[in-house]
Amino acid sequence: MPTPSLLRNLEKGDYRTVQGKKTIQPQYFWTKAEDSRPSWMTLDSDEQNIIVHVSTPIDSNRVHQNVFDIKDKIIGFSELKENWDYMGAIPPRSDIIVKALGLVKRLEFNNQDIFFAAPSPGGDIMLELQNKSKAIEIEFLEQGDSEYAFYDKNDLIQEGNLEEISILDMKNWLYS
Amino acid sequence: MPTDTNLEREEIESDDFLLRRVFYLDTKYVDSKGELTSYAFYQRPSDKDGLSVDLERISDYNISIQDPSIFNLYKLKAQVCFDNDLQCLHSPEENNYAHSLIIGKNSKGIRRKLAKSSSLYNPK
Repeated sequence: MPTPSLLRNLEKGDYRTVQGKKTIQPQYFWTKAEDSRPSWMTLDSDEQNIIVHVSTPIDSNRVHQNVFDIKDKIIGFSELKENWDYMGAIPPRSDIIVKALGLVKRLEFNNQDIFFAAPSPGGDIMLELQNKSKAIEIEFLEQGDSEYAFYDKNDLIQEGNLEEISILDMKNWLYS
Repeated sequence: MPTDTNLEREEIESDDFLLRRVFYLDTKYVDSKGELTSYAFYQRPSDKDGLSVDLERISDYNISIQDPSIFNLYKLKAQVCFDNDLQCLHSPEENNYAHSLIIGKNSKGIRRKLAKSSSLYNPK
């Protein structure tokens, strides 16, 4: 939700009319909002209150761009060679890359952006989701398993097999 | 490189710093905030005795970093290892007297803790 200071700082120039509704300029929102959830805001009919909408087309564009970049990065892992980190790392297999891309697609469908993607020295791939002090690491392991771990302030809170948890569960924890 | 048992071993204290060499091209082990990711402390097959680090107070920057065009050094306080039930053992090698090992469980949680407790090392 927007902070009180954000509400006070809003002026007429900060919003525009879209389909008959006054809408906060997205760039103003993105630079001011503390909550990283995909969302947008409109004013109510009396122009007294701001209504916050979650997961809208405007914010989907941001998620799409983030996901596009992450997909591009993960596809790029297929070009890694043996010893790609000069310390003996092995590249991820194509089936591990495909599994990671599958989850990326599902996260995109759920309007969830991805903070980071990285290959491990052992041929695994990790995706990281973040919100404030919370983070979720999702790993597609070289031996075939997929695991997740929840962290708050870098303390491990919960871990398990990825099959045991839904994306909705992850988002609920991340934004709780 | 095996430990040279003829070399004298140092005791690693909690206020000592350990240096971890990290590949940084394409930011594979460094996130967009410049922080290390868990994979910087991933235990490789070659790390079967423990994670390789150098004891900062007796290290030689050029030996530790090997190639500054592809590696960075990150420093980690030994106390962080002790707080997570890990051992720190000076394990000198013939060509690197500062070589040391972090020994113990290399779980996800431990890797992240070590990574997020590390910072970029800038020698004076």
